Amino acid sequence: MREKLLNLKNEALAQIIQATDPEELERLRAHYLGKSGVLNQISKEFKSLFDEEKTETGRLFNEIKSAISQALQPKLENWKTGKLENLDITLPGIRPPQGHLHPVTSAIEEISSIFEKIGFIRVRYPEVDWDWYAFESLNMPASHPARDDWETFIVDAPEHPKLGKIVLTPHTSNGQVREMERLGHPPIRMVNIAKCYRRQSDVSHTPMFHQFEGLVIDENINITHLKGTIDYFVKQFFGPNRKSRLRPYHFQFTEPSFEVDVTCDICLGKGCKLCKEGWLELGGAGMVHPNVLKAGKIDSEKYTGFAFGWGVERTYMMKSGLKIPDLRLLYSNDIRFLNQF
Amino acid sequence: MQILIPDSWLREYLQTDAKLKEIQKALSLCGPSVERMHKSGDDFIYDIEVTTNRVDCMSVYGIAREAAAILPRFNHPTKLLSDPFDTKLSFKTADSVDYLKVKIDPTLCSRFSAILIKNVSVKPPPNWLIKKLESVGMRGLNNVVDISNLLMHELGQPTHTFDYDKIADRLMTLRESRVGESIITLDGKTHKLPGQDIVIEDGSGKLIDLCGIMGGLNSAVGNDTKNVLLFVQTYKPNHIRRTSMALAHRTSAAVLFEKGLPSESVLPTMEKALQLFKDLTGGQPETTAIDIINEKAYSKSVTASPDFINSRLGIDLAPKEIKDILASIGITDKIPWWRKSDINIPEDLVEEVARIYGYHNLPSQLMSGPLPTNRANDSEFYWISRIKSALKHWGFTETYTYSLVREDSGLRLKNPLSSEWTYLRTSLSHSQVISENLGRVKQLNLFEIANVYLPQKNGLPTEEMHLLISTTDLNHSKLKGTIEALQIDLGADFHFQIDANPTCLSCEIDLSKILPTATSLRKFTPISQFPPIIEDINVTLNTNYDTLINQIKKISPLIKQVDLIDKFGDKFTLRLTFHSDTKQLSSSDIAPIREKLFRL
Repeated sequence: MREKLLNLKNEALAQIIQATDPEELERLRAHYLGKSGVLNQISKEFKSLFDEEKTETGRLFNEIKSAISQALQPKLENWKTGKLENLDITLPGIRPPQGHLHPVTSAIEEISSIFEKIGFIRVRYPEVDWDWYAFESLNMPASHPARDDWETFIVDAPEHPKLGKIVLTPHTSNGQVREMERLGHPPIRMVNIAKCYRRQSDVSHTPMFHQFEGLVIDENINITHLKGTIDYFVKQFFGPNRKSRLRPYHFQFTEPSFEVDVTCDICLGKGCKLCKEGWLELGGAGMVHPNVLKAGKIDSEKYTGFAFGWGVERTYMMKSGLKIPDLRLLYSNDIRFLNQF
Repeated sequence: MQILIPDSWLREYLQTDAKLKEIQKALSLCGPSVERMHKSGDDFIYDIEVTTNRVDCMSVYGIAREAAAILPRFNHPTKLLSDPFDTKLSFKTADSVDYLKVKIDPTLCSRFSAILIKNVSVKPPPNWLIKKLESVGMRGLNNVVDISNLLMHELGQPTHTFDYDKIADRLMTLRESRVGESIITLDGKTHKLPGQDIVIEDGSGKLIDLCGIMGGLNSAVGNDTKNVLLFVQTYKPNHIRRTSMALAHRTSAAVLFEKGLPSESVLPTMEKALQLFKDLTGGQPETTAIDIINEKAYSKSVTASPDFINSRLGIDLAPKEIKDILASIGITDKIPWWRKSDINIPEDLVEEVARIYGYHNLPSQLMSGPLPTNRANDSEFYWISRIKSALKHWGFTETYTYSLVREDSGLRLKNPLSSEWTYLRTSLSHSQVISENLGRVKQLNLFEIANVYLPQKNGLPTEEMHLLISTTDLNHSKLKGTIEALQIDLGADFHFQIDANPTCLSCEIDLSKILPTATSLRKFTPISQFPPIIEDINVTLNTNYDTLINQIKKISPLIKQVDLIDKFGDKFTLRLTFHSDTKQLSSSDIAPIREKLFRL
């Protein structure tokens, strides 16, 4: 009985939807709901049911009866008032409201998901931090140019006797020693993505920007693992036809240090006006300097590690081939710009 | 640091079969990066980036020395043709000379050397010299000044020439400047000194040199100069950087000096300069140069075992290969003087072996090993991403505004870049974004999620993640509904407040307290067996809506839901859903409730 009722409902609703003229609708109404209609016929069979079935089936019967009449009624009324017209499927669609995510958000989400797949834990550390975490613990001597007031924003606040000044972090590397402190010991695999600040504003620099910082520390970590991680990221993020390379470079908190290049998305490595002999600079990387491990209270004899810290905006530009002529446009919040993403 | 190196000049020191492109590629992979190349007449110029630790590469010879080690690894037999630093001196040195009295603050100057050259005739420079200087972007001035420029580019050691007869009393006092002293430099610019700059004062008390940056105009070599004092020094790097930055006077010499130049290059550079002076100016040098050294004699060793180096490289190089690689860049059991400030620890040797062996020759593999299990409280990233996605799909556009603002009660920067960016904000605001965008589109629906920085009495500011939603649609219920929908999605109930402005409505929410309680777990209520009864009623509101709904719900537990269907002025149509979990409701169950409703 239950199955019979459900089949009947499906059949009736399908016929109502397909009906194309009022006569047919009227005929369907009589067929299903009329005095000698199908439903009334079925109700007569109730007598043969066991008592315990009667309540349940009765409920279903009522539900189906009202479903059929609810499907019929509006369609019949529309016909009478002439609302139902022939459908022009070439009319424009009515879209749900659609906002836009900022390209920096899209980039951050993609980057973090790539690293999460190989076991990196995403963390968040202060964007306004002590000089100790931003510089001193990273093997940057007091005389280092990055520490002077021409390059780094300094907060007008009292200094901490041990940790020094309060600065706006010029890189996400302040997360390195903080993550060592949080975990206490290797293994460490973190990706720290945050806002950074530097005293620069021109077509390729904004005073606020974003970086993502990778840090891996464990036993037997060596340069081949750094290469492997970078190759993995480059293929995942930029696509299989882009290549990466390491060039010798210099950073205080890594030794050896590298600059990572990716083949240009325009000429694919042949060399063109927009790149440097076929290559674009992605950012810095290197093997964690033993002094940094020491600052994080990690045994630098037993453990080694690597780190990299790259600009989110820059990395995203290099992927998309978005030739944004002025990076400051990203933070202009011009709705005509934002609506394009 | 950038340096231009003409191919022909490089090959004055380098014998190799490597072609331009091969040199460019090999240097970039293993040494200083050749970022671009361009043609200049019949020559090619390499545009090279040198990292700050490798000031030894900031010269034609420095690049040649690197190339001689690197090119053989790319199967190009290469050798250095000569070593200008391994040269016999044609003059003697002494710590005092009769033609110049000096008083030196030894903490400012690691080496002070000078020699008098008499009977110089100042003339236009010869064509070959003009051509060389022009190919690296400099201008030929006269045969004296150009010697300095040529040598700085070729050997990486700046020199300076004074008109000897303009130095009053033949006396030089090298000291720290006092705040507010001023000097006019060679380029005619007057500089008011910030203090603690390295300067030289002559016998009359006037400043004649802003050391390491640029000489003074009052002692400059001119067309009628007869006697020249050739000046070659090395200075305390920090002083030079501070002065150069403070005065925004970034000369090539300052860029070199502030990296810390080795004092060993001073006398060979002087030797080469004297040869040029004899050839180009006819000048006759004194036999003895004054040479004062204010540092200890240099000798340094750094050791690393082959096992150590291989463990960092991740490959297995034979000890002999490691030794050969290091020897090719002058590293034996001693670190050569031109690398003295750069190589200090075993890891520095790892870098040297790795880069010369070639990073491109190392394998690439992902690490195995255990993963950290102690996760940070990282569910917030999921929720933030979810909020952003929901708002985007509800028609809101995300903004990223600067955390630095013109006015705020928050922390102030000591060194703002502009008055527009002076304070760290303590709340988010769309007012500027909205006023800038008004008129560009019909309606603005915006949101932003960012930290605000709340000052604390002692210590770092508290960083609080805030959400700001703003809209120019002034319908209060719509914005309220959006936030209510967020509450449902986050499974979190929180207080919020909508602020009304003439042009927009906005709501700022502190996510840092909400996200830890966010959940996608829901409470399950069994679905009732019995159909509900639904009735619409019309009411006139004489209190606020919330109060009315609470009154209605109090009447009977059978009223499960009250929805607002329509409203006109204070007339409301409400839809009431009556429902019981235990029985089929009939009219007789509803009648007494209806009675009470009418009496409201």
